[in-house]
Amino acid sequence: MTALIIRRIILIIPLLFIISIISFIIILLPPGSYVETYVENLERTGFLMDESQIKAIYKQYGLDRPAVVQYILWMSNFLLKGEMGRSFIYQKPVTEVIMERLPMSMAVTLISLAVTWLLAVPIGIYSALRQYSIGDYVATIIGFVGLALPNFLLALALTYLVFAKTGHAVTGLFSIEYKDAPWTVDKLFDLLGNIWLPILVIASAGTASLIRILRATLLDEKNKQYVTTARAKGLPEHKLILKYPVRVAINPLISTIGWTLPLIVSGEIIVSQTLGLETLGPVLLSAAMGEDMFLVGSIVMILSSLTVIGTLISDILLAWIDPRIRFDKVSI
Amino acid sequence: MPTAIASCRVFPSIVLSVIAILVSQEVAAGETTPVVGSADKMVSADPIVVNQQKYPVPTKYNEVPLFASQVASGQLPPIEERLPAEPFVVGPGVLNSEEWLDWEVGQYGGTIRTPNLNGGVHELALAMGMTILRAPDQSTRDPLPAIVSSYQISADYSQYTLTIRQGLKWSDGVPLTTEDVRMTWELYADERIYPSFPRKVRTLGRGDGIPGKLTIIDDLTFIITFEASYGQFVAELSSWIPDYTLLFRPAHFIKQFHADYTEITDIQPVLDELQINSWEKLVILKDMPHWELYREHSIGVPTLTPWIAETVTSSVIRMVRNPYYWKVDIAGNQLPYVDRVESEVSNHLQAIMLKAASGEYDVMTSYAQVREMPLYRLNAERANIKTVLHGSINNPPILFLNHDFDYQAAGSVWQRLVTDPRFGSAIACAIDKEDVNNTLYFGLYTLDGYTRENYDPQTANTLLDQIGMNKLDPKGFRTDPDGNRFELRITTAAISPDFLALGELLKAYFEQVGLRTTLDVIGSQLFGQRMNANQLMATIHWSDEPIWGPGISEDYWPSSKGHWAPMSEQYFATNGDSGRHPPDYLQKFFDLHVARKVVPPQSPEGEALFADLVDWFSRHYATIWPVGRMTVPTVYNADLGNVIKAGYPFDRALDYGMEQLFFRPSK
Amino acid sequence: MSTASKPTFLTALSEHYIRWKRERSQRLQERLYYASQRELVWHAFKKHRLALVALIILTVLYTVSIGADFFAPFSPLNRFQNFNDAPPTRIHLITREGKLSWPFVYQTVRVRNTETFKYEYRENTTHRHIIRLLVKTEPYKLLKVIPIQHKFFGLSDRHVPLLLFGSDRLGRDVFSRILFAGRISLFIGFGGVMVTFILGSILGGISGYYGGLVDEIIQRIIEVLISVPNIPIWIALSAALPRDWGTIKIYFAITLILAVRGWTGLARVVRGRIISLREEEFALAAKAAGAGDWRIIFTHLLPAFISYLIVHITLAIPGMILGETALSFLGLGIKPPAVSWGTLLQDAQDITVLANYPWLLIPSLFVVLTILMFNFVGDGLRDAADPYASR
Repeated sequence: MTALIIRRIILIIPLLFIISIISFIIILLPPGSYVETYVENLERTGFLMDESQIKAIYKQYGLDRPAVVQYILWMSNFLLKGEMGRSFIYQKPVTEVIMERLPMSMAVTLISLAVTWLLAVPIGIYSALRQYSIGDYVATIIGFVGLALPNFLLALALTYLVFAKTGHAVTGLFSIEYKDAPWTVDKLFDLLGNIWLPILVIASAGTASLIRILRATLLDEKNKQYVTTARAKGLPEHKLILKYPVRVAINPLISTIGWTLPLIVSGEIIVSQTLGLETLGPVLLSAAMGEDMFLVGSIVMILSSLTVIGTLISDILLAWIDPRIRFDKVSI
Repeated sequence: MPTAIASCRVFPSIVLSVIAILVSQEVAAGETTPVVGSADKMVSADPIVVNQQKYPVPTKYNEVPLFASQVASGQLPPIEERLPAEPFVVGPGVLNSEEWLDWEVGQYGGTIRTPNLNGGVHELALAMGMTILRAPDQSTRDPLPAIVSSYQISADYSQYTLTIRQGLKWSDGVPLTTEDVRMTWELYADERIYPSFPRKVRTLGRGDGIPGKLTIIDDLTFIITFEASYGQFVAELSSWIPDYTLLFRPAHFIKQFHADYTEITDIQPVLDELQINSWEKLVILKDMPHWELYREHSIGVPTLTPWIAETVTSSVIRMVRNPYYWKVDIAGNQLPYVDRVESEVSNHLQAIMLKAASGEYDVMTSYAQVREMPLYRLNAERANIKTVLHGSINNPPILFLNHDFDYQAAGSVWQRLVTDPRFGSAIACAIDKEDVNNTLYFGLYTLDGYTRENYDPQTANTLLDQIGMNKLDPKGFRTDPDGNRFELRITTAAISPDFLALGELLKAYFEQVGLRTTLDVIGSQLFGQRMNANQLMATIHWSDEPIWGPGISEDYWPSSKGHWAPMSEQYFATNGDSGRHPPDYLQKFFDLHVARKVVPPQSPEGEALFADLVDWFSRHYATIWPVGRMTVPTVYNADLGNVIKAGYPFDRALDYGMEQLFFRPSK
Repeated sequence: MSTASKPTFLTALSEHYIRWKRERSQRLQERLYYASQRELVWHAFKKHRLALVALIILTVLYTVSIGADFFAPFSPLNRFQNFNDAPPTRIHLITREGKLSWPFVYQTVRVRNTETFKYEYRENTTHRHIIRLLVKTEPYKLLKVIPIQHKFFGLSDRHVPLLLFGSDRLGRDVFSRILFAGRISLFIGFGGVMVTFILGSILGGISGYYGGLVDEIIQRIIEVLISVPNIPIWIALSAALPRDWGTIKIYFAITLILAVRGWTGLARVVRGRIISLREEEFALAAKAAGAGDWRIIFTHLLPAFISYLIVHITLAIPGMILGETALSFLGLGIKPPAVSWGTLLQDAQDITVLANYPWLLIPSLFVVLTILMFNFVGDGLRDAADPYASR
C-alpha cells in the first residue's frame, strides 16, 4: 500500500500543472478583460475615461501581452519566488488578499463542520436505532427539507426575519468598527453575535445530508449477520452499536472528509456572498465576474490542489480504516 | 407629415448662424475635418477675471480637537500655519445654492460610515474629489476659484491664467506650487508613463487636438494656452470628473520613484516590496487620478482632499481628516467637520441595503433606488435614519437606436427606417410613459425628457402605416416597407435590474403596435464589444443627461453609453481614416458638439448651443426616453446636518458635499 | 365455521372477504415466482407509501407544466397594468349576505401610502367574480397541436386579476408563470442526466473493466474535473456562450455545463461495481463463451446493477434542478424573458421583496417540493430494487 501512496503523490505534480493551465483558461474564456470591468465601473458613476487612460491601464496591468506570456510569467513567479501575481481589483499582491480572508474562511468552515458532525452523528444514530419513531420521522423530514431548500434562500429569509424582529442587520461577520481591529474581547463578542447565522445556514444543509447517509448506512448494517451474532453472544447494546456498525457507517463520512479541505479555504461561496461574509468566497465570485486574472487563477489553483490532496487523504484514511480495501478486495 | 411629429423649436440665434457660416466656409474650402474653432473669428467678449470669494476670510480660526495634542507637542503646526493665507470660505450658497440647502455652521467630530460595493468607485471618489474651480450644486456656471485664488480667461477662451492660493499645502505639508503643474505636464508628455496626452487638456478636447501649452510665470502663477478657443476647459476645471489631478500631481512625491530624478538603487527597495518590475510601472501606479485615492496603494500619496486614506483592507477603507485641508467655514472652523470616514466594502447589494435600513450607515447615496423605499421607511425610527428624495445625474434607462447599424448594406431597410423621423416618432408614441413610471418607479419619476411624444398608439399605428409598414406577415406582425419580415432587436445587459424590466415593457408596447420585437440579454462585456463593433440595432442603457448641460458629462456621445452611431464616431475620432462618413444630419450633430466646446457650456452662447443639441436629439430619435428624469433616495443618519432638501436636481450631493456634513449632538 | 352459531349474513360476507383476500395473495405469490425484475421492483415500490405518493405528485407537476397552456389562467407575459407587486387575490366562499357560494373573488383597487411607500388594497364588493372550471376563452392550440377553447379554471371576465400567488414586478400572474417555468426547470434535468448517464457508464465501464493505464488516465481526468471549483467554471462557461443563441440552445448549453462535472460521480461508482463484478462467475462464463469486451460490459455487467444506476439518475435530477436555480440566481443561467423557477427567484432575492412582496418566493416552494419528491421516489426505488432486502 505504501507503494500505492507514493505513486499517487508523485502523480500529483503533473496533475497540478494541468490544473493550473485549466485555471488560466477558465479565466480567459469570458470575452474582454479586467480593463473593461474597470472602465465600465467608472463610467457608471460618470467618470469617463480617455482612450489614452485606457491604454495606460492596459499597460499598467500587463494586459497588452498575449495570454501565453502572462501564464508563463505567472507560473515562473510562483515557482521561483512564491508570488502569485497582483490582484487588479485590490491592487495588491494576491497572497495578501488571500491571507486577509483565509483565517475567517477557515473559522467559519471548521465551526460549521464541527456543528454539523456534533448534530448529525447522534441524531443519525438515534434515527436509525429508533426507526419509525416520532424522533425518526422528525429527523427524516428535517433531513429532507434541509437537503431540498437552496441554501442562499434560507440565508436571505433568515436575515430578513432577524431584521424584521430586531431591526439589526446580521450581515457580515463583523461590524464596521471591528473589521480590521486587533483582537479584543469586544471583537469576539461582535463576532459571536454575527457568526451564528451563517453557521446555522451552512450547517443545516450538511447536517441534513449527513443524517440521511448515517441513517441509511446504519440501517443497512444493523440487520447484518454479524450484529445479530454479537448480540446473541451477549455484547451490551451500546458497545455493539458503537464498535461495529457505526464504524462502517463512518466510512462515507471519512471518504468525504478530504473534500472539506478546499471548503475550508473557500467556504460556502453562494451563502457567503448572500450574507456578505468576509471570507474568500465572495472574493472569488467578484474576482471571477470582474476578470481579476491572477486572483481567480491563484484561488482556483489553491482550491484544486487542496481537492486533489484532500482526495488523497481521504483515500488513505479509508484504506486505513476499512480492512477490505487494505486487502485489495476493493480498490481505491 | 409635419403634423404628426412634435413641432420643433426654432432658434434665431445669431451665434449659431455665425458658426454655421464658418462651418460651411470650411467645408467649401475642401476640409474633411470638422471645424476647429478659429480663435480670431470668435465673437469678442471681455476677458473673464475672477479673484473674489463669496465670503471674507475669518479673522480667527478654531483648532481641530483631533489635532490639539499633536499641535501642542509640535508634531503639527498650528492651524493658522496649516491653512493657506486666504483659505476658501464655505458658507450659505457656496457649495450648494440657498434654494437647496439651509446651510449652518457645524461642529467638529464624529465618523461617517458609508458602504462601498465591490471596492468600486462611488461615494468615496466623489467625497475625495476636489475641483480646481467650484460652482454650486454640481454645475459649472460662474465658478469660484477654489484651489486657485484667482483665474483669468481670455476673451476668446483660448488662454487660462491661474494663480494658486498662497500657502496651500499638500496633505503632507509641502506647499503646492507651479512645479507640481510642470511635473504633471512632463508626465503627460512622457510616453513611458502616458501613451498620449489626456484629451481634456487638448484643444477642443479632441483626441488629436494640440495639447495646451504651459507657461510658468512664478511659484504660484501659470498660464495654459490653447491653439484655439476652448471654452469647455472651464467646465473641466470645475468638474469632479477630471478633478484637481488634471493639473496638479505631487511632484515632490513622484520624483522619488522617477528614475530621472532619483537613483534607481534608491527606488529598487520599493519595487521589490510591491513586486513591480519597472520604475515606469511604479510611477504609473503612484501617479494616480483622484478616483484611486482611497485604494490601498494611495496610502502615503499627498492629496488635496478633505480626508486621506489611513488603512485599506479588502473589507474596509478608513480615512482620517487632512490637517492641511484648505477650506474653512465662515466661523473659522477648518473643514471637514467630521473627523473620519469609514467605508465598508461589500460584494452584495442586498446586504448594503439591509444595513442601510438598519441604520449602520450614516450616508448612502449611490445604491438606493425608489423601489426600496418601503424598506427604509419600515425601520426609520428604530434605526434613526431619514430619507430624502432628489434627482440624479443619471437618467433612467433610455432606448438608443443605432443610426449606423447596417449602413454598409445597399438599400438597407433599417437605414431607411431610422432616417425617417416618422419611424422614430411612431416608436416614441408607442411607449406608455405613465405605465413605465407607475410600474417600475412608483410613479415618482418625471415624464419630461427629450422625447416629446406621449402615449398615443393610434398615431403610432398611423405613422407606421404611412411609412409603408401597413401589411402583416403570417404571424400578424408588420412587414417592412419592402414586404419582408421585420424584427426590432433590442439588446441590453443586466447592468441594472430595471434594464430588463424596461426591456420587457418596451417589447410589449412595440408588439401592441404590430412591430415584432426581440429582447436579447447578454453579459455586460459582450454588450460593450458588440456595441463597439456596430452589431446592435437598438440598445437599452443609461445616460447622464442632467450633467450634459453643465459640460460635465458628454455621454450623449455616439459611442459612450448606448452606442447610437459608433462608426460615424470613429470617422470623427480618426479624422476620416476609418469608420463611416456621416450623412449630413449626423454631421450636424458633430458640428454642434464641436461648437459647444468652443464656449463655456453654461455661458449664454453655450446654453443656446445646448438647446440646439437637445432639439437635434428630439427630432432625430437617436435616443428615446421611456420616462423623464429619475428620483432617487438618499438614506442618511437623522443626526446629520447640512443635508440638501428634497427635490434637489442631482444626486450624490452628500458625497460631493461630505465635507460640510456634521453630527448634531443627539438629544 | 362452527356449526354451533347461526350463520348471519354479515359473517358470511366477512368470510367471503377473507377467503378472497387469501386467494388473491396466493395468486400474487404465484405471480411473483414468475415475475420479471421490473414487475418485482414495481411491486415492492408500490408498498413504499411515501414513494408512491411522491410519484403521483411528480406526475401531476409534470402534467401541469406540459399542459401549462391549459392549466394556467393567463399567459406568462400577460400584464395587469397598475397591478404590479400585488398580493395573492383573496378567494371568498361566503357572500356579503352570508350565503355560501362557489369560490369567488372581488376586484381590488389600490393606492400607495406616501409615508410608508406601501400599497394598500381595498376590495370592491359590489360584484362577485366566480371562479369557474373549464372557462371559455379565445381559441388557441394546446401544445401547438390541439385546437381548444377552454382553460382549466379562471374568471369569465379575463381582465379581472385572479392572482393565486400574487403578481410580480411587471404585474404578471406568478401562478401562471410558475407553471410555464416548470417546463424549463423540470426538464432541464433530463438532458444533463442523459449526458451524465452515457458518459458515466461508458467511461466508468471502460475504466473498471480494463484497468491498468486506461483506468489511470480516466481516473486522473476525473480528479482534475472534480478539483476545479464549480463557480469559476460556471461563470467562465456561461460568459463564453455566444448570446445570439436562442433560449433553447442556451438551455441545452446550461445542461451540458451542469453535466460536465456530474458524470464523474457516476463513473466512479460504475467503475467500483464493475471491478467487483468482473470476477464474478457469470462474467467469466461470458468471456469463456467468446463474448467481446464491449458486449460483456454492456450486456452482462452493467445490467447487473441497472437498478442502482436508475436510482442514481433519479437522485441526480434534483441536483440539476438545484444547479439551474443557483446559476439563474447568480445571473448566469437562463435569462429573461425566458422563465424558469431560477429566474423567477432572481426577482425574489431582493430584501425589499422579502419584506413586502414575499409571495415572489413561492417558486422556491416548487423547487423544494420537486426535489423532495424526486428524493422520495429515488429512495423508494432504491429500497425496491435492492435484491438483498427482505420482502
